[in-house]
Amino acid sequence: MAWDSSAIRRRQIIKGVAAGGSAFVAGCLGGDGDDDGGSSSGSINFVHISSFEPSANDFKEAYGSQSDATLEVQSTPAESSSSREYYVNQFAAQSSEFDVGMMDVVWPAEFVSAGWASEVDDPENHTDEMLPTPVETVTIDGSLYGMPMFTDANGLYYRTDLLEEAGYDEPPSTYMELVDMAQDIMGQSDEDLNGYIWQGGANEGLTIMWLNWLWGMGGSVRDGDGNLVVNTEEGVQALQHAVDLIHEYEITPESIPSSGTDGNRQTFQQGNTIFMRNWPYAYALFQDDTPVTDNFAVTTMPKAEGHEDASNSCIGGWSLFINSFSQNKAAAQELATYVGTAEAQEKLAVDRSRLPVRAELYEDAYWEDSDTDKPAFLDRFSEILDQTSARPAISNYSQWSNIVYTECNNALTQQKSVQEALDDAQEQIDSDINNA
Amino acid sequence: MVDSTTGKQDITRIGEEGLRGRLERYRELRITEEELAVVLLMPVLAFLLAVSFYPIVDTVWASLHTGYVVQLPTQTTEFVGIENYRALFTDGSFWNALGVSLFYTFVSVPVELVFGLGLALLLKADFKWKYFAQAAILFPWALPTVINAKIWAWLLNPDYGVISDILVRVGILSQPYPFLSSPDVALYSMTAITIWKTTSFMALILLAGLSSIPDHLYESARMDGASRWRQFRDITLPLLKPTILVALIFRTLPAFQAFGLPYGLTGGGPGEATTTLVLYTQQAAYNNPGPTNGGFALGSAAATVITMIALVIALIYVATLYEPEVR
Repeated sequence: MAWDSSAIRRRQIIKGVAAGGSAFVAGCLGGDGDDDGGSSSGSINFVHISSFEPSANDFKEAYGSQSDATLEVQSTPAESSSSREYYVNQFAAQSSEFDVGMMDVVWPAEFVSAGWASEVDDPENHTDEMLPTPVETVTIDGSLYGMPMFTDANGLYYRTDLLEEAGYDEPPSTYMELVDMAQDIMGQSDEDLNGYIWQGGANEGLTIMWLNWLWGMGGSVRDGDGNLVVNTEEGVQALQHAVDLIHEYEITPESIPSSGTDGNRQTFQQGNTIFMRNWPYAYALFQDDTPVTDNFAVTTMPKAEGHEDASNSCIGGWSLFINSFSQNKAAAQELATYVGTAEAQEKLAVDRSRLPVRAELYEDAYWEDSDTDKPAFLDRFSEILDQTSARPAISNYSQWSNIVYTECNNALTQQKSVQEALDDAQEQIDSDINNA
Repeated sequence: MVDSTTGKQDITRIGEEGLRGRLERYRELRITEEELAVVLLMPVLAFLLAVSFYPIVDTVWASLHTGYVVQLPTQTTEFVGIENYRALFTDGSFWNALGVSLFYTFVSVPVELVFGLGLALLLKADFKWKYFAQAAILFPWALPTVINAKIWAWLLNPDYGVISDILVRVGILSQPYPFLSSPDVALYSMTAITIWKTTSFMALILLAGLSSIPDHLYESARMDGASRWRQFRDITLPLLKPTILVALIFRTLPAFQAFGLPYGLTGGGPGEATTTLVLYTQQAAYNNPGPTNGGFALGSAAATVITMIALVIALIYVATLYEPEVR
């Protein structure tokens, strides 16, 4: 065969393939093609949960005016559990793509034991001014691993107008009062009302719900030896009460075992629900022209008869943590210090209705010197914050919670009896966590 | 590889030219057709090795170790043989997930095949809006999975979902039904949604197969007085077999690896009623990802098992349906 024009064309193809191939390989190996490569540029990357976006943009400005570095912000796909998956993926790859992140109140034990979160300094002693619980959640073995940003607690939302019409001037303070009141109001009303809605889907919300009832009955998920126990007498009673709300008292709709936090919020906002358990964020959303605006209030969680002093609201909230693999920890520390200031805390409270972690913001005296009035929700939630307990601080919290909510959900849909569901949960907890 | 006669001559010449002659030729960038083919395939091969084979091998490796399989410099992994597989096979949740995935796959795929074939036969007929209809049926398939899941979660919601509302209005239900709160009904709903979504894709593949069957076969069958059913049974089905094989493989494997739909629709609940294998794998990995916990190792074992089962299913299809050169 003669080497003719086709051979020349072939030569060109080979050169093309070689060029393209080496470009592809370079692209694969490059990695740092267009990022700012850490410290040289003096910009740090803050990855936040999606609902925090407005505040993250506020930080940008404040940070830029105080520091030589600039702040880049980026949102994770959604809320807590998927954000954790994002961070875990980054940690597993030992990525320095981001320098600071947001840490949910139940993550520190896991992040610290895995060596993913760095120690955080507190040069201006902000933590001395803070509520004790949020600081405790990020303190491990006496060291600080996150700067608390805002806190969260569950409250009972209720419809003031519906209670009034039915002749009640006070919200219920015990579990059975709530049941009687809801049944009474539902009976009196011509409308098709939901009595009590709460987070019953197979997700973190259900674990928290069950803890709310358990704590309100004086129970605990730790036995004397520090082991995690769920099938205690109070544990069974708490879950039985949840099942009864749906199937016995019929004040909770049958759709609740597939519901989640924000779906509940939307349902309550439609105006056909009397009681709802939820977080503070709903308070701000109900302010602007919804069917329930001006007709709702929020109060402390009800408790079991005889346990009026129980702390059965679950503490939530977020802190700022520094990625262990960050190339730019000094600049990251500056942001951590900033979020602890009164200025940053006030902005979060006033503009975004986040519960501050600095104690002084709950005092009227603080706001007398401020340009703005004290946001109303601070008074509502300060009482609730006095009655909080924390979820177990263990490094495999996610696994524990997954077992608890899956089995509780089985009981709510009556696939298993309450005792059976919690015994099964205990069996898994013993083999995977207590004896692991 | 198809050889022209000149190509064959080249090969014999290569055998005779020896290494030195060959290097000489390469220096001048003179190569044969076959060598060119190899060069052209190399980038694709390199790409596949990097993004497909390496992760597969890495996953199998991780499934045989414990500790922090996504390794930190300070941590070591330990070889544990089949320990992760033992842990997997003694986990009731794994068997539950396998059951869910098998039900979901082997109910949805056959139904899609029947519906899809019907749809394809309809679309093959000549009518005015033919092309519009062909484009329109692709809409469900073009919807991103998670968005589709969220849409259906709202539609099925008893409080403000339109499905309960319609069923109550026409008198089928006396009150709204919480479809996604009942374990069995949630699984049936999820299966129905996937049938709705992917039947059109099945129809499209089958339509391509139908279009390739020559018309004269039907003409001669009609002359011989064969009924429509005979035509379908003796011409359409046998000639469509290779296409059906492709369609089945294309639908079974994604169905067996369903993740987005349960993730967005139910989160795997109620309980674990809609937790598919891949959703189980994701939970196993991320519930326990730390260096001292075996989350990623267990997840890797589960992923390896899923791959094996998928491979077996594909082989069964090929063994029963594949016929070299039907025509």
